[in-house]
Amino acid sequence: MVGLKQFNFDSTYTNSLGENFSISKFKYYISNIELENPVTGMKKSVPNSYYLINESDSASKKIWIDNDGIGFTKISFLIGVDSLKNVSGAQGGALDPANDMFWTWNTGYVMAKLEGSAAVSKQMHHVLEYHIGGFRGENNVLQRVVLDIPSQVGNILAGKKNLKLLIDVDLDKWFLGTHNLSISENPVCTTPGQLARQFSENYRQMFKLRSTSVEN
Amino acid sequence: MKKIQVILFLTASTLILIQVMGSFLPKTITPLKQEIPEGFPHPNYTFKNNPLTKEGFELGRKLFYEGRLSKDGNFACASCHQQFAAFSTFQHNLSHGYNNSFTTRNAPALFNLAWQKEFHLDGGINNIEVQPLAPITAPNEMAESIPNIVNKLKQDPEYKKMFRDAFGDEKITSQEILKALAQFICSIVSSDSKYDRVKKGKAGFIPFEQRGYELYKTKCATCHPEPLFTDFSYRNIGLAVDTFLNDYGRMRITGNKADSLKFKVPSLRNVDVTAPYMHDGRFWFLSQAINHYRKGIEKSATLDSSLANGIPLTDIEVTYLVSFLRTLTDSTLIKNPRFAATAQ
Repeated sequence: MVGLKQFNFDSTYTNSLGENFSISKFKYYISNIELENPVTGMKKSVPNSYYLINESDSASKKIWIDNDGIGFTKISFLIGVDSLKNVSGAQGGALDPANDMFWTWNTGYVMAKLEGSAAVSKQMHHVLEYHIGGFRGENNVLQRVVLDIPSQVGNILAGKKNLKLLIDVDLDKWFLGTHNLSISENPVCTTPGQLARQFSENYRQMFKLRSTSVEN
Repeated sequence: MKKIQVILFLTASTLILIQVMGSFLPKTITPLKQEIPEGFPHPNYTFKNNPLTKEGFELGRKLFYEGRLSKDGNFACASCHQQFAAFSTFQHNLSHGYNNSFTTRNAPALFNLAWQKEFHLDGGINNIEVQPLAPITAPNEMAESIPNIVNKLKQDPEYKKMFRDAFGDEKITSQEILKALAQFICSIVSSDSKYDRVKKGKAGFIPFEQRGYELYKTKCATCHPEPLFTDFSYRNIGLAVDTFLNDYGRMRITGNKADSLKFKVPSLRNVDVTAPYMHDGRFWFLSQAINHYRKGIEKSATLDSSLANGIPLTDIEVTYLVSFLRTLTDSTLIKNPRFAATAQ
């Protein structure tokens, strides 16, 4: 969604800065998922949890994880791929460089990719293009998102019940979150650095838990 | 009303993972031992997560000479990395790529890569396994996409067999392609030059070479120390910027001004067969490259402190140095049929 409006690839939206834009590509990694119950002190890291979320592929937007029967009231995940996997050579699956989320000349994963167009962009064909990456030192864009699960829901996870979490991703935050990053001023960001980090500090605020439901 | 949603399904029941074993288990995996020459330090790449086998090496060798890794079939890895030039491009300042384009840097020689931590003259690549992705996808080099090369190789029954032999399945993934290439290129070891034989007491320097070796030890060894003949650091050696290429080296990777004009120190091994020299191949002869240090240093903020006054050498000393540098040619390596293309 964008602000309060539903999202479609063929629609035009207006961000909170009053700029009209449309999106042709939106992909990002989610990894290192952790479940936590601060009351019991239980914590579970989901092993090998690397997911490439592609807005144009609905299957990629559903993630199944196993909680080992542990109740929890917090779920957290990294937006992006941890630094270790950025330096460990050839990877497969979601991390296959064939997924077009890998910088070949300056090794590292593109953590989040947003492409489209906006009338206010002064680039050729009014493009907006954000390839956000960088995992070292001050250029590190890895952000952990923490979402609270209502305890009456998170703690009943026993037996063979499934919990479905519906998470909204609000693209408006990409431009206006901690930082005010207008499309007119910043239509392109494709290298690690301060601007990429600011975008990451914005987009970590995109994720909001909308609803939970317990299913058998 | 459609919205962007990430739906996370959490299940309380224990998932049962059914691992389907590939129906083609490798029949005859032949493990190979990594070659570590006497006197060399412990290598950086040890095949720990990519067990070195004869099958993996042979697959990597075939891929290294495979034109289909490029868009038009003309540019194998080996087109810019020729064995007789110690896997650099023979007598080219810049190499040739797809659609009559030039590369932007002089192709580095490939040997002793298992001892390197970072790759490319700017060090932008942090693991040898992912290095081939850069030339394969660069529009002025091999100009191909990763999904395309995977698809092309999948059409070839011989590759299916070789991937099965090396990795136990016929899937053919980019990961397997890259691991096989790493097995081949990290097996290219240069340690059998005349210099190495002298060190082992099996040969002797002639007087010019001996004088050159003494000079090397006092004038060059700080940045090009034995036995690898590089310290793998990045340095600005005072080369004027080429105003067409405008290559500022490592700064492009780190974004740090202090890295402006710094390039990786290359090994001096096989230097005589890897002409021309420097990151853009601007010097065609060894004597020109040495003369740059004598009287060509251009000062700038990031110039290496050891070169502030250049490297003083007399004309005859340059001759001695060149004589020594020629003893670093590993004629065993550049003729070794193990690293040559297989008969088609």
